[in-house]
Amino acid sequence: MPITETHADTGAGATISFSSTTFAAKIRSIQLPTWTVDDLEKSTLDTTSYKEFVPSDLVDPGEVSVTCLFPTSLTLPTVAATVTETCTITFPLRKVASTTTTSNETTAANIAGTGYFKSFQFPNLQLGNLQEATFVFKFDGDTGPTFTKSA
Amino acid sequence: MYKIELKPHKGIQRSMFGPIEVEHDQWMIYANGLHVGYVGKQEGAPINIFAEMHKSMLSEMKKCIEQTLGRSVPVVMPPTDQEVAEHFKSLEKGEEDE
Repeated sequence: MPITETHADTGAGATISFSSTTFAAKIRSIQLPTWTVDDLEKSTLDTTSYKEFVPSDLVDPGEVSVTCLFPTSLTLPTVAATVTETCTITFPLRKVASTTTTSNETTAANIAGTGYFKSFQFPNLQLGNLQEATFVFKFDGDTGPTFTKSA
Repeated sequence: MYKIELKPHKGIQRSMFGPIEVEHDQWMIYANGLHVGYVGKQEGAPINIFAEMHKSMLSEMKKCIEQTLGRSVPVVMPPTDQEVAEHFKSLEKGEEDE
């Protein structure tokens, strides 16, 4: 079956939002989480070739790292493991081109899950440099993270 | 006149027993059928809009959501370039007045 959809897209138009924090900085980049599972080595004394592994049980939900223009006029997010909320990263809406129909999507893809602000790094203040802040939101694995396809 | 809808934000979460459906702590906001943002379910949670929106649409959407949720809802949107420019212009004007 031929692939007719447009798969190539950039990050332009992507957004990040929080269910209770009112933080609306100008975003420069969003580093999405890496979902990983640990490796458990199961090699035994009679293993004669490569090391042998099995995957562990649980997957690390990862974290989101965001670089933004430093918002001197905004209230900063609270860095605390006791304050949890939902973080949602929404991908740009994608135009769908098909051999049978041409229509625009109405719901963008997203990654969402509960977690907490793990860090907030203030910018470097120096000549000829933008004031950029970096914060990290850690998914706590309580609800999500989930990836929902666009539609 | 805009058709504003709130739909539950659901997703599929993986688990040791296979995929399970979960519902997030927020509503998805649709305006005329297009997904335009989110609003949290908790008291005081804001509306998050993806992109700049016409003031009349934003106002109507806020009103509709407040009616549906039965509470006041702040709107979170990054300042537009025009708003930033106006902000600095007003500062300059204030300095001139002094």
